[in-house]
Amino acid sequence: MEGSRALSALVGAAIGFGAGYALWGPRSAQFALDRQVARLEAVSQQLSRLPVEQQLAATSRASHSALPAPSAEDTGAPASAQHPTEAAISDSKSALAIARSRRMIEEALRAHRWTAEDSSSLRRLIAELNVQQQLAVVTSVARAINAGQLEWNGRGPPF
Amino acid sequence: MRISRSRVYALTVGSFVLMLCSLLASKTWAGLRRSEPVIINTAGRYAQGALGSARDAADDNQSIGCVIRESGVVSCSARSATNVVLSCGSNDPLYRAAAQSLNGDSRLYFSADAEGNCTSLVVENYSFWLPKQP
Repeated sequence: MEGSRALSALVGAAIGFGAGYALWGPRSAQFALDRQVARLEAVSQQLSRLPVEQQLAATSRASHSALPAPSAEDTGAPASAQHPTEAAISDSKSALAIARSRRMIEEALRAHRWTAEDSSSLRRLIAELNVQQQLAVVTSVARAINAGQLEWNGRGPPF
Repeated sequence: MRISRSRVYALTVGSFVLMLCSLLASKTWAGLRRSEPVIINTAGRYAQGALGSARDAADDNQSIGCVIRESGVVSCSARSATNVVLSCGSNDPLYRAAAQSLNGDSRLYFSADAEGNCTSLVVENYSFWLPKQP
């Protein structure tokens, strides 16, 4: 009798754990991830109101304490070539630059205009991006210009 | 007055030589020269033109060329005399190599897909394309 009670208790605990994990485990992980994304977006918005130099300095400071070091695979660098802190700074700079690039393109699309100022600002931002991000930004502007969604009135290359 | 036969002969030969010299002087010896303004086909999403011709154009609009970034990303763009613009981007090493061969005497052709990616990039470095003038 004692044994079957103990067995029942164990089975009940296992079922309870399984159900709890199924209901709350993945959700709480997703929730935590969503919260992190929301925080990053909020910080990005606050930073976008500052001049670029201050933004990068603030991002570098934040990345020292808050951001985990990305893997060598994430940054595209050999494992021994980049110090974890440098990699985190580089990653946060590129995250900020891509967010600003996207916002700039969105605003230009709303205005249907790509100005010389947009062009020079984007050139500066592109320098902060990794290869895939650079290509994504360049092709998105090219696509919009080719489709007539953006009017490029400046002289020379639009990006 | 009687002109001797030898003098007539000398005058004839002299006239012939003079005529030949003037003909040679008026002839300009030049190879094939071609000029091609920037042409953009928006439906086909391609652009072409010689850099020297675009530079030398009477209008203030024409331009064509590529940017090669240290990351390896290449972007090309062109603007026609009528202000039509086409551009594309790529990180294909073959396109990068082609773009690196561009110079002031080149003729460039590039095309793009609907997403803004370069789908071809051709550089011609022929003697007949006009060099860029100041």
